[in-house]
Amino acid sequence: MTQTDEMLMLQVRGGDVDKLGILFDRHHRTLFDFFARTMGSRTVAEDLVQDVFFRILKYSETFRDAESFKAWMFRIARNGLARYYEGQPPESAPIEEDGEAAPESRGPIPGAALEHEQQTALLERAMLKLDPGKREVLVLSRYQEMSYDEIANVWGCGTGAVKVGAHRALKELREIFLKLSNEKPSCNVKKFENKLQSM
Amino acid sequence: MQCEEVREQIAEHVNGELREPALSQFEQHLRVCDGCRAEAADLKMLWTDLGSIPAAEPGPGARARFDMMLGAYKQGLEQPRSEKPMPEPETLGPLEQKILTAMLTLESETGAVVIYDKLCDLTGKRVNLASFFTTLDRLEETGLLAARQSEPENSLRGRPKRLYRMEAAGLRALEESLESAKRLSEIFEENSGSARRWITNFARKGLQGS
Repeated sequence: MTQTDEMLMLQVRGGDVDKLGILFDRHHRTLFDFFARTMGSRTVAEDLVQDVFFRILKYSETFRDAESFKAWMFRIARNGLARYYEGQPPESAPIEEDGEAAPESRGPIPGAALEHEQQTALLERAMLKLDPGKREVLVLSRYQEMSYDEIANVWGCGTGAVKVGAHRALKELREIFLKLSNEKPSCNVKKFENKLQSM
Repeated sequence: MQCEEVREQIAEHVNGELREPALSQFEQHLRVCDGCRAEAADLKMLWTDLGSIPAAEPGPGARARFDMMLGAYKQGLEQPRSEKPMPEPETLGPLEQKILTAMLTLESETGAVVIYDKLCDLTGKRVNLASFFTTLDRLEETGLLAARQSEPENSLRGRPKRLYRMEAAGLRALEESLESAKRLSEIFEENSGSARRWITNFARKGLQGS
């Protein structure tokens, strides 16, 4: 029988720390995806994931019997984010993006698909321009597929606040996306198409 | 139902969170209101497009790093309980080594920004800021560094600053890791000559063979 996350975490709390390996295998990709999407940097995400598991071990005694492991883990993850933002000196540069999300050499891309890739890259940029708190609610609901109740549990607030946050985040994302689309008309697509035709 | 109220529910609707009876009222309104229908379709498309952004995959070394951390933790548990809750890591990582070395050259209590500048100075490159803070945090957690908030009069722009100082355990860990590096360096001195000869010979043979 597969053990639930909560059963495993209780064993970790009881001193069987090797069980944390199973929890790591189950959740480190999710956490990495959460951090990478929220911070826009793979390097930071790698470090923060390790930090979360270090803290799960260190603070295992604070895990309560009837608690959801996932919510508890995400609370630790959010504290990691907050520490990261606090640690940034006031004059520090904004988070670096890990390079342009340009499609790698996957062979020639047909025009429509290319346009779609460009749109996706633009949307990714729009996400990174969103205020971190707003980005987080979208990341949790869209990619981690958390319900508003689950997010409220992680945030320690009411479901109403999450609803309002999600609504504002989506609207603001659209504004930023439209602004970016207008700044950068599809000249890159044209250039790429010309290049493809000349090949 | 007012348009404003309906529009506030669009995010909830695209996320599949809208429940009855609100759901029926929402859908009923969309049937009769062109503006809200267009707005809902627009945001729904954005929500769908968000799904096209590919997931980020962690690098291959993630599990190995985790195993190292777990190993160090278990080793600490097996040792008799000391006043420190966390064990010292067996060996220092390269960035930990560099941060502790940078601290040797600075005043006994120093802010993070000064340590960071010194670190970049010593290594001759701009160290990733996030890695720096994570490592600094870990050094503090493992008791190799200690930190305290500065007094208000020493504050930077009115905010108290965090001051770091080296602990005896930190100095010892640095010493041990440098000694181990010294042993490696001696082995390198003794054996690199012959290795270099093999490599040169091998390259020469390879060239002749081709």
